[in-house]
Amino acid sequence: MERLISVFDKIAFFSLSSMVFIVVASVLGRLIFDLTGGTLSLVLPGSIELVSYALAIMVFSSFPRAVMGGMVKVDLLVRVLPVPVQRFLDRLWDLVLASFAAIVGFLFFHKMLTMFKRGDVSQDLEIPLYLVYGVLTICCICIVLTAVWLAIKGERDLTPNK
Amino acid sequence: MDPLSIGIVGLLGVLALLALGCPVGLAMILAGGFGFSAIVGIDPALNVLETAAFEVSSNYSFTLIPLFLFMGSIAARSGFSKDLFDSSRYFSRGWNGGLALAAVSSSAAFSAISGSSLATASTMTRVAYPEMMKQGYHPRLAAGSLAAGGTLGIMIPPSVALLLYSLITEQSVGDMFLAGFLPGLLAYSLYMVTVTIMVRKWRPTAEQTKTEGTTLWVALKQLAPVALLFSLVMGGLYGGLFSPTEAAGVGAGLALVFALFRGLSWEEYREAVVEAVSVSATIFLILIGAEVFGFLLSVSQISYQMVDLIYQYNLSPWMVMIAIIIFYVIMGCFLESLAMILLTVPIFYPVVVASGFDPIWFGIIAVVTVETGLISPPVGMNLFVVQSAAKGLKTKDIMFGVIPFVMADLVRLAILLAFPIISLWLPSVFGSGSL
Repeated sequence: MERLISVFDKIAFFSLSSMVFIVVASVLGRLIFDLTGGTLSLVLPGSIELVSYALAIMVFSSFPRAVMGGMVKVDLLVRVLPVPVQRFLDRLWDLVLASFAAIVGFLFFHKMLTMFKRGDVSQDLEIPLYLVYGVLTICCICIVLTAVWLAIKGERDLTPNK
Repeated sequence: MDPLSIGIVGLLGVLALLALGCPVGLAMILAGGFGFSAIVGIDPALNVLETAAFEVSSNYSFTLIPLFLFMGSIAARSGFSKDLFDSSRYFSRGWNGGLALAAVSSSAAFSAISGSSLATASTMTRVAYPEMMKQGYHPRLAAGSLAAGGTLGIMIPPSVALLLYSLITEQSVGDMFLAGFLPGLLAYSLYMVTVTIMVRKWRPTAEQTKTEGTTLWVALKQLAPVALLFSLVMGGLYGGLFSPTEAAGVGAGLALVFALFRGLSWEEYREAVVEAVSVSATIFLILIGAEVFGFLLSVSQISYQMVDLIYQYNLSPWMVMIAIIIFYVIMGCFLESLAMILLTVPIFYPVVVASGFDPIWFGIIAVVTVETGLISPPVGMNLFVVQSAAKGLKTKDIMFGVIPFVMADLVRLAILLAFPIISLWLPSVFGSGSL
């Protein structure tokens, strides 16, 4: 499971690094354009679109790692419950999370098929949208696997990826 | 059941799920999704789920969340914190409790490039706590000043909490950051006064009043990268050079360049990215939850019914505001700060605006109250962060150590409530204007 999640870590890593690069390049391109009075145009076309899709891919590909590390929750009341009940609840929420990811993955998969059939592309760069939904569907499958694995294993590995 | 009753059940459902340890984002998705489908049907609910998941995660405006978090993660790994602490030590040398003053000052400076209270508290504790112990500081003074200093990250721009508030209420990010600046400085000043008072009771036993090897030039040089980064990001934002997202991207890029010059390793870079994306994912799950839950609030019209009730019973706006603040103070002890903002602001915001309060001012009040919750015993998040970063620190010491700072926060809250101009003056002069 750790190996699978580290693959998605790499996707998230690449997405965030590209977001930083694209935003900085876009600002620099615009500054150069302004400074040269429009004679030198290094403005990145479709940068907003690229960053938006990179963000979606980053978010969904980093969910498995976030699920492993534990999501934000209020454990003050749960802490006073007996340990077996706490474990049961943890497993229950892992399974609920898996179900949520499965439903969203299913919806994304259908959207991907629709986009593919219609040949929908993005507005500026004409990126085939089924590709974006395809990546998100795969990420959702990984979230489902991670959450189910956690529910079966019954304990969390809190160490970050090494 | 009528939509309003379903909305109320949904709201209670979220609280029940949270009490049972359900992740915050998931609780909002469950209650929002089931409530919405009970009112309008299963197919529209599934449509909302798909739309919320995609639209929130691909919203360009939200890009600044991972970018600012990345900037903070990089800053935490590139030695800025130690330089800031050393520089602050130079400027507070000769004062009683100089190290505690330096801890608060360096936390304030670090939060200007970190945006996160937890990151600030964790990073500064690792740097300052061992030195404070070496110089005979009482653990209560050391832990209290570091836990409280860390909370400055939530108010001093760029603050992730202010950012989320502005995104969900569609206020200008620039105006929100400007509005947080003076309350942040007020918090800093009150913390400095608190430290000065605490030092009288817990005087350090082996305090060094000289900082060997540090001159004014060295101290300024240590401060320079952070000052430059902050000035470029904020200057670019308010000078009209960048949009908020671009400011975050440029800040992250510059932090990376500075960090590379300071010898950031590939492994540290990778760790910073993984940390930033993991924290972003937890925030985005809550954002998706808030979006889904927002649909339930919208169709059940809970907020508008609350406004109607206020008019019907002729409640004074200040009674409403005080009730909201009491709710925030109590809930702030139990709920994580960002989760609380995302869960409660969509409910209270229409009520506050209908009561005639300024939305930017309310954002500051909400965040200040949430910030107090970060150090409110027994469950303030910063207390656990500081304890995990400070070896050998006892729970009792940190609980007692933060109490004077909680009182300082309550004084600040009262000042900000009494004088809204403190929050609204800068946006009215430099921002799009709210007065």
